[in-house]
Amino acid sequence: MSSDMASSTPLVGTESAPAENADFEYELSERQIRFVIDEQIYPRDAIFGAVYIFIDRCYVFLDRAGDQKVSVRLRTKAAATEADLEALAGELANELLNQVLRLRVGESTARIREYYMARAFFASDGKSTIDQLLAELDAEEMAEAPLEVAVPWEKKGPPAGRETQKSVEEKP
Amino acid sequence: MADTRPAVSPPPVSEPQQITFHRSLYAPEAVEEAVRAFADLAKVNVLKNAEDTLVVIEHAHPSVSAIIADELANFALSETVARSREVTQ
Repeated sequence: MSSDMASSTPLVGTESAPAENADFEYELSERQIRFVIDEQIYPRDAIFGAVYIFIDRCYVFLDRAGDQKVSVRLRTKAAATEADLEALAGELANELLNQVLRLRVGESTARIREYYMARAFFASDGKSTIDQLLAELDAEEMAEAPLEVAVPWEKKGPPAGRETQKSVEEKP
Repeated sequence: MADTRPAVSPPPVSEPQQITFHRSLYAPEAVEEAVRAFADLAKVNVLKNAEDTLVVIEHAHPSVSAIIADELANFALSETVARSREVTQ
């Protein structure tokens, strides 16, 4: 099976027999389509990720077709024409490539993600990052509010030049 | 003598259906979880060997007998994918 999807050759499949000139071989039969995917090209996690996308529209079944080969069968839940099945084949092929790319990006950025996580958790000086952010926000709000509306009365005290009710009552 | 036969004939007993889940592709625990989920709709037996987990579905409810094997396989795949993501995270 060739996996070169960059070619402009259209996906071709024939009923009950795989197409010989197809870039991505598959077998068509009533309401179902079957592929054999090479795990050396598409890792198992990529296959899982790709077929999982189709689980709401199709009945998906995986089987071992040989060493490093996975057979994927998609059976549509609703009635489907041959064109629908071919479209499904194309979608799966695209999704496989998408999943392989995601895996590779994930692997290549794994170290930097671990570094950021470690730094976020362990590099703070006793205060969590969220506490620091909240303190910064409070400081900014206080600086922008000259009337200190957000400060409770008890903490702020009476404004200058005004006496409290209690002090007025105490006067003879 | 009155006819005591039921007016509606009993639903046809569906043929047993067997699904073979390869262990390298379907986690056995995921298959068992799927079997538990569908236990109310049919009699489902699980057999295990070194390579496969075999599921035999018998006496499926007539309303679901046509799709129960496919639905169970989808469930098992979904559980397998979920478990593999838990492991990698």
